[in-house]
Amino acid sequence: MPKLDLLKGTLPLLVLSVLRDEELYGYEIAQRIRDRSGDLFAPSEGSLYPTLHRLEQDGALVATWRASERGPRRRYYAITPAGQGLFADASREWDAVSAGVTRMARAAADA
Amino acid sequence: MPDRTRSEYLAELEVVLPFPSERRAEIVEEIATHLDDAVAAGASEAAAQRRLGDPIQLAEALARPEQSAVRLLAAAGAGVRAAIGPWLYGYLLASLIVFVAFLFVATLVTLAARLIGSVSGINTAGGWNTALTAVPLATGLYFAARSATQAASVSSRRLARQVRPWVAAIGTAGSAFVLWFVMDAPQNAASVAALSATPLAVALGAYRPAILPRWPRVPLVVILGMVALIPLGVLSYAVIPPVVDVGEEIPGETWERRTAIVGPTWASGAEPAFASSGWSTTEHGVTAEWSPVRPGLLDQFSEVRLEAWRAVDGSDWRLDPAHTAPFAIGRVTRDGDRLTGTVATHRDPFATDWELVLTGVAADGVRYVLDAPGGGSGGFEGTVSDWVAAVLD
Repeated sequence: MPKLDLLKGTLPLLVLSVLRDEELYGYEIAQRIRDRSGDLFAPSEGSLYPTLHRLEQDGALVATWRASERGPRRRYYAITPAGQGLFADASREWDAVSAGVTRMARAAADA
Repeated sequence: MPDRTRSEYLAELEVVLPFPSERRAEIVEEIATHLDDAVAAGASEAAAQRRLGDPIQLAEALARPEQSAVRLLAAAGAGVRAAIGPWLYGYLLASLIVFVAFLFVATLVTLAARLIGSVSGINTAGGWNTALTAVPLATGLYFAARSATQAASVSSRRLARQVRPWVAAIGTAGSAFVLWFVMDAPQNAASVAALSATPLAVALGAYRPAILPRWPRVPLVVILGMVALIPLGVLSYAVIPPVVDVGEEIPGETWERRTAIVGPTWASGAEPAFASSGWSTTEHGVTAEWSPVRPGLLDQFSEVRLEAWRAVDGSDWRLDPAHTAPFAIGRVTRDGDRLTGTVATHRDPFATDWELVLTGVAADGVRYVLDAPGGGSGGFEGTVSDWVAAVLD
């Protein structure tokens, strides 16, 4: 896992990315992020639920209670068109930031 | 983070979440299934809770996206709106309790008085009644503050612990202002003390969960209730009037003798020089009117004024010999041969029984008693601040 707090603020992007393909509930979202990142990212659930609720508040996600295949009913989150747009914007922003940081790091390493 | 069971964690989260009840229940259900999933996947209960974080911090993080300045304004309105009903409930409930307790103590006092052969009873006149009224007022404020805190917390999406200081400060200051400067009522030292302590009920209501742990609540309430009965017991002693030796009442006693402390009477041995046509009580005090018994008499006096003197019993014309000066002096206006005077008999904290005396200065420079129309009872009336100012004056 990254030692520096470089990923702060990227949790909404990670959440939107895993919800692009399917509807998931909170625990699954956390697991999916961990799995897809190869255990690189393991968001604290204490941050995950506030992020989910904020994205829902902003209209990027919509939540519905549904019975799950195992156990009690769960709150499933689905991405909305507004959420798709937000994800696209955030991805572009991340690419730009990432590219910039990479250039800076390489220049510093080459110097 | 302290070790909690699953239900303790969820219960604490539910208590602190600043959301309407339905939404609060949904969030708790969502977190509950999350904990279950984590435990089912092999995590320990403590580890699952640790990943979610402290319930208070989790609640604050969940609420933060919905906090705004508009919500703060709305919270003020919601707090006031939520306080009205519980205030009324607390006021009526405590009024009933005070009434029943009062009857109980009155019965005890009466029985005790009969046993020891004394004449006694409970004095609820004047400020004592106001002091009793403070109990329902405080109880109402206590319930109002509890509800206002909860409503303002939910409406502002801020934790109750963030809202409490505001409710306590604004509520205490607001109620103190009303009880000190606005509420006009009969006052004495007990009522002033009771009304001064009453606003603290707001702080107690706002902080109740933190102030009172769960287990001693019932015994504590019982103890407080018993302590509250002590003033009632004290009230029962308050009725025993101070013994003042004013001498035996003499049948057919002349009014000059009775007003001897005040000064010489103008019409010695006869009827007073001025005849009053009764008096009435207004918010400014007592107002009376006079006419001289013969025309032109009024021209013989200057500096005519209406005086209020302390009496042993306001209905029996027995002046208190311990006082050699009036406690209040009122202006008298002349309209032709008619006098109208008003004196504030209700603005002295230490005068409860009084007699009225009309006096004027004759040509020889002596102030004479022109009439003594009667007296009455009634303590100080006004606001707490008026009472304090009068005592300090």
